[in-house]
Amino acid sequence: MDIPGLGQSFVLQIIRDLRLAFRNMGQLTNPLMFFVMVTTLFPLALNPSPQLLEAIAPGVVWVAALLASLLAAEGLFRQDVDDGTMEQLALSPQPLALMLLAKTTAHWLMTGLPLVIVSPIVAYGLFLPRGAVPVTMLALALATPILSLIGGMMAALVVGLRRGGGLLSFDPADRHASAHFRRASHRFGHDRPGNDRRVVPPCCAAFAGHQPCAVRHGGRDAHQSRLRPMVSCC
Amino acid sequence: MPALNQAETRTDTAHGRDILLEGQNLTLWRGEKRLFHQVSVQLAAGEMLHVTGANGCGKTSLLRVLCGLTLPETGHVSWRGRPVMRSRADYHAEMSYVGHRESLKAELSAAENLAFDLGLRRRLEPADIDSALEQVGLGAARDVPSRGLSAGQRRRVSLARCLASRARLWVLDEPYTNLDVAGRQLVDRVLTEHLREDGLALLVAHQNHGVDGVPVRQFVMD
Repeated sequence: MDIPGLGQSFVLQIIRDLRLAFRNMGQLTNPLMFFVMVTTLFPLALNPSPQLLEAIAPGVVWVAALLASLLAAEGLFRQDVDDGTMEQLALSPQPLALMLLAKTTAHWLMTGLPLVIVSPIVAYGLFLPRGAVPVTMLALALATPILSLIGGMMAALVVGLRRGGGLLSFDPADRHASAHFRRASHRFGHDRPGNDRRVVPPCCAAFAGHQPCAVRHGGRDAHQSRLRPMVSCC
Repeated sequence: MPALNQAETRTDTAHGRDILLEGQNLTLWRGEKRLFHQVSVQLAAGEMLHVTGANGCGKTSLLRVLCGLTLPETGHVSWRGRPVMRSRADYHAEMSYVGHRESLKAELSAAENLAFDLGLRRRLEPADIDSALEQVGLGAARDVPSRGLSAGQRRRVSLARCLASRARLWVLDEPYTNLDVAGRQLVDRVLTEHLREDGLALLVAHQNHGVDGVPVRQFVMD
């Protein structure tokens, strides 16, 4: 049988997820609206003096980006597991890890990339110096894919749990990542030292190793004895 | 159909056919309940295994183990003599699965759903999807979003996926659910044709099937 290549299948999965997102606009706009609202509410809730906003802007942007990414990550695999399309994906001749990576890439295109695009407007509203805007965009362009990968990994681990969404926010990996990103934001904003490149290889390795396994078994088999410790750990 | 590699298959002495799918000593627990213990099944080309049993006895779980979706506690499943865990892609390339759920995206039309699922399996011609939908009586509904289809029509789309996949092994979990009389006859007809062309089928169904003139093995779970 003439099985399509990996690249073709990867693109096919991305196109399908983008098509689904454009037919369900809420899925597409919710993280972006959340990001804009959070960053807009800070000046209203605090003293809107330029000095204060400039000082807290990097942290606000990063925390808002992290939360917006987590907000969207919960539904990354859940709908596919619920409607049975994940079963078909797992039973296709294509590597499940590749297909999940394609889904995560589509997730980033729908949730991470819009944050990068609107970040100059947010930066302007938070009185960031003009020179810091390209750096903020670049940093978000580098970090949001990592956030999507971490979110995907966490979503895969909790996909079999009925109330998994809450756990997503409290996962140690996310807290670990947010600490790194906080340091990164300080680094960009205030020249504070930090070695944030360290977070990238472990995150990618963890994603590659855990995500397909967790999704494959996360659905109805989550309560099988063999997998119980993993679920309990989540 | 892919050519059969004689070196990789065993022969069922009772029927003189090549055994392609084999599950040996399969055991599975769900929580504290043992669903099945040391179950062995064999399926040769042109044969169907009809699994029956009471609700909750583990029929679907057995199917999922045989598909490679669930790992058994003991035993192993092999396809063409090779463990499926070591040749997952080859096995799944030759298998089509119709589960409890239709595995359709509500926002996508029947044709779009099939184009994606089948596009991961083989290179498609545009006519392939139309032909499969015509066969299941849904030619006119190809562009209707799945959310607009009835439960029976959605079941027919699942069947169209099976038909267009050109898979050797069909795994059908309650395929008659939600189908009218004509739909059930359709399942029987395409299943019979598939088996006569040396295909294999694993069927879980409470009611009697109408497959006739081909070998059917019965497996009753308690």
